[in-house]
Amino acid sequence: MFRTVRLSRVTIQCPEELISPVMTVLGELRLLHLIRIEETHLGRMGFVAHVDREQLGRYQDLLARIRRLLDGLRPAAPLPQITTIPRPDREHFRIGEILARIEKRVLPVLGEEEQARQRLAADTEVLERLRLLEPADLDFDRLSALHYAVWTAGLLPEENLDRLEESLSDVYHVLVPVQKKEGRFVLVAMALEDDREVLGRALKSGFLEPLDLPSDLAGPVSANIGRLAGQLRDLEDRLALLDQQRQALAEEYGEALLEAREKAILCSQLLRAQEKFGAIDHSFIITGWMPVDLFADLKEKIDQATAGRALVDQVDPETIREVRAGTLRIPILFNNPLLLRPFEKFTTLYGTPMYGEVEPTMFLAVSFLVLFGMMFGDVGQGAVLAAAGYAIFRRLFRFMDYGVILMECGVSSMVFGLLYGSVFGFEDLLPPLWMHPMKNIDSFMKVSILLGIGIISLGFACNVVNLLRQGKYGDLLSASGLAGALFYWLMAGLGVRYMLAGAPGHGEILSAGIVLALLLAVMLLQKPVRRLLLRLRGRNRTQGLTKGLGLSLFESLIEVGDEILRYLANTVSFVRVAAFGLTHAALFMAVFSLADMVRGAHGRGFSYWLIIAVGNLVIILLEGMVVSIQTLRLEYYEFFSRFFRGGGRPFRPILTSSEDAGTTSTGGTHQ
Amino acid sequence: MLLAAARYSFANARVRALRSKRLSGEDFYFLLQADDLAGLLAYLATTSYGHVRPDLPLRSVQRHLFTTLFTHYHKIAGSLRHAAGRRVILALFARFEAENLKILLRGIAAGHDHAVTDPLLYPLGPLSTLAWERLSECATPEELIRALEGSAFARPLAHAMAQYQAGGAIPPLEAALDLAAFRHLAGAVAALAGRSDRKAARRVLGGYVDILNCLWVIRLRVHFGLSPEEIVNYSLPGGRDISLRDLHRLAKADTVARFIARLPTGMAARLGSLRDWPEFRPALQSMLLRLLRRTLASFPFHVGVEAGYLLEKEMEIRAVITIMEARAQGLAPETVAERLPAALLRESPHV
Repeated sequence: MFRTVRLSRVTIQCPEELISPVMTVLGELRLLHLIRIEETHLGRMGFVAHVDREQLGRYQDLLARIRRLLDGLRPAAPLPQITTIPRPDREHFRIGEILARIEKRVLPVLGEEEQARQRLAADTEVLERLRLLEPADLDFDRLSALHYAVWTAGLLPEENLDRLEESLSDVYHVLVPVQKKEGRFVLVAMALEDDREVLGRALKSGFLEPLDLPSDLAGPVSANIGRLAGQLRDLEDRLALLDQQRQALAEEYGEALLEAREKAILCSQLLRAQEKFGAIDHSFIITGWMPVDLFADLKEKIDQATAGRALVDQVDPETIREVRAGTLRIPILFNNPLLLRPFEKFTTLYGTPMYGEVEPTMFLAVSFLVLFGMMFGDVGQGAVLAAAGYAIFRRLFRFMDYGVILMECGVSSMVFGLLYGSVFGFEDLLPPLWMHPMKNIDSFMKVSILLGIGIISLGFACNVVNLLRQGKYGDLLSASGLAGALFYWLMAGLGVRYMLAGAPGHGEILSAGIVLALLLAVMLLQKPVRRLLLRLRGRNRTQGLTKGLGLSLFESLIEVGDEILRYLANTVSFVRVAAFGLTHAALFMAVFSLADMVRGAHGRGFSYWLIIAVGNLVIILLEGMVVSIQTLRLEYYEFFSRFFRGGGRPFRPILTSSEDAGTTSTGGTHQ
Repeated sequence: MLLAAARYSFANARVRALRSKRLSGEDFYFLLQADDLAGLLAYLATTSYGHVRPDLPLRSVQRHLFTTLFTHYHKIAGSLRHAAGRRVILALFARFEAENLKILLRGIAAGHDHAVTDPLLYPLGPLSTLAWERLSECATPEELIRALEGSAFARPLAHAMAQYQAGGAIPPLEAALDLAAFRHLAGAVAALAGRSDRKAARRVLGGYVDILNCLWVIRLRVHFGLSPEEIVNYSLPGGRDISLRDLHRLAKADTVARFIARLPTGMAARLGSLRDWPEFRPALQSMLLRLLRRTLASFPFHVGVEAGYLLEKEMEIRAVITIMEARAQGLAPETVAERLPAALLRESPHV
């Protein structure tokens, strides 16, 4: 839990014809982080495999066909879980067969639906245009019977009418403004057949937008409107019928289509993964990182799938030259319990730990919940947060992790609410199991400081572990190492002794002073001494020459001084836990003061409860956000900064879900 | 009159101060006589355009010259205490916004990136409230119209879209922008409260529109070969002495003599000596310049003074740019002078 999953480097060598079953096994195990062959010795020698473009193309075509069907059917089926990983070289036959069967039933319905929709849109547009001409009630039969005159209808900006009149003044013409519509006249213009071109030029330059009515209209405008409205009703009925058919088909084939899509995506991913493989003659080489515990299982399955014709090998990362040289980094696979897993987001927001570094998610999660609860302790408000978190967890899949965090924060808030005896700010409903913060400000502050000392100490401990794991034993003597930790603990011990039992005795102060002085001397001198030793050994000569011992000592003095000041600042920083806890209680007091004023005037009626409810809501939103930010700030600046170096790379399994692949445009719901 | 004086005295004083820096006939003489473009720019540096850096490319120098004009617009609009008068000045300024929008539309039609079109835009400064950054990034006329929502240009452009979509060419949109800008100007003049103020503004700006319309008729008829009915529809609103009917008659004139005969009597008398179409431009510009100078020399408390000064300044800058481009092409001073309004070259430096 406090360290990431132990990984080993796995290398698989198999004949070309067996690559598909091997990839299927890798897909089933999922937990393999492929190493690009170019990053290895073999890859640099040019033994790189290539993606099978032909097969990949087949899956792209299949995915396009599936997408068309899903877009049309819009099924509401849940996303299927693929338990058996398909073989990319064979699966396209199966998917193709399924699709052909579905398309035979579905495409005619979708095609007809699309046609009906297009017709509906076109007819609706014509109807809208005809309605513009309704006040004039033109008769299209009479207009089309004209032999010596031409006519046109359109929308003319109203300010252009005078100029249009003038521009046509040399020819016989009629301009009939039918009605006004959004700053334009609906205009019917007529002129003699001989003046058709003049009329056309004038209307065009007058910015007339023609109505573009179909040529087959006959009879009065009103009759056409009635006819079209009837057609539209028929079309809508037909569409409703087609929609029912579509829904039935979606129910029948939705699951199969979603499963086919998932499998096609998996196969595409497996095929794409080939670009990370190596190839020598007619055999493939796959290399990647995998949890040590899974290796036996992998070897057994590959042996089964290839009848023992594949070589599977495991190497300890420490023995790999590229890892030692730092050119190849081991990825990080987190290993936290289900309830703490969402907090990995907060860890990675700060940085990804290096392989071998302490993985702090567990500490972060526990301390986050304690700090949040202390600052936001209230049974009622905690229950609201937990309910909101549950709603997010159930309904918003993408934000499920945040839903879990919110639920846990809510529970923590409820626990501290019980300790403080607070329910939506009412402090007389439950007896406090611990104390009322506003009545015990001194104690609350002391507890906050003690909590801070605990968290900072944990940071020191993590740093010491990191230094030991990385073999940086010399740094243990530094102000951020073991010497610094001892110095801090001794100072903190004296402080706690003073807070709990009064001033320490002379003997205690003298002995503590001697130890502190010794530790200070160690912290101050460790760097110059190490540098001197290096110089004497003849190593790092350049640095030794450019930086003298005096300068080195001065630098060390500033570093140690800075670090000791940071101990103090970081510890004092935890007073904010008490401050925000008190602010929370003070905000309640403000809300209740307002409500009491209203009660004085109108009694304990609707207004009183409304103020309590709105006040609580404001506190939840405002204080909840502020407390979250402050907690995260304490975690990052006071805790993580003590030991967290970061710079690692996350583990990327060979297969990701279709969500990650970015292909779920429509269809399918998560459960 | 006291009210008019209170409204316009400060702006008027500012106009007089700004006008004292205009180029004299002597300045134009030396600009025309400069040996080359470098010599011209060196002389220009000794005038009120001394801030223009001669080491910049020609296009940048021209932009700098217009910066002066837009600074003057800003100063004058800021010194007008009368809201309706200020609106007239802003409406006059909106012509340049329309010009910039035309440049953007041409850029869109040519498929140019905004990095290409941006340097071509007039540097309008803080007086323009349009979101130029957003407008520059528009990739289609439809996007541009959406970005102009709420301005005087959005609706006319939207109404011209049908013509643009039918023909796939930008000119209908450009014409719509011009019409919108001048309709906005005519509306601002009509909204002036005082009768004398309105009358004076109509005299200056209506006269300006009349002259522009004459030039447009000639350009559309002679150079573009448009029909009279099209020319009437593309004519600018807000003219004073030339009605729509007059413009229609002018558009049908097929010779210079007939064109002159159909002009209002006063204009016809002044232009009677012209024999060819190219002679109209400098002659009409001279006529406009005389109108502006008369306005600036007469009763001072109306918005016509501010508008007149800004039009005069614009003409001065355009004349300088014409000289620059002509000199860059190596044209002789006499040839260049023929293309400029004679009244400008005879300008005295006195206020």
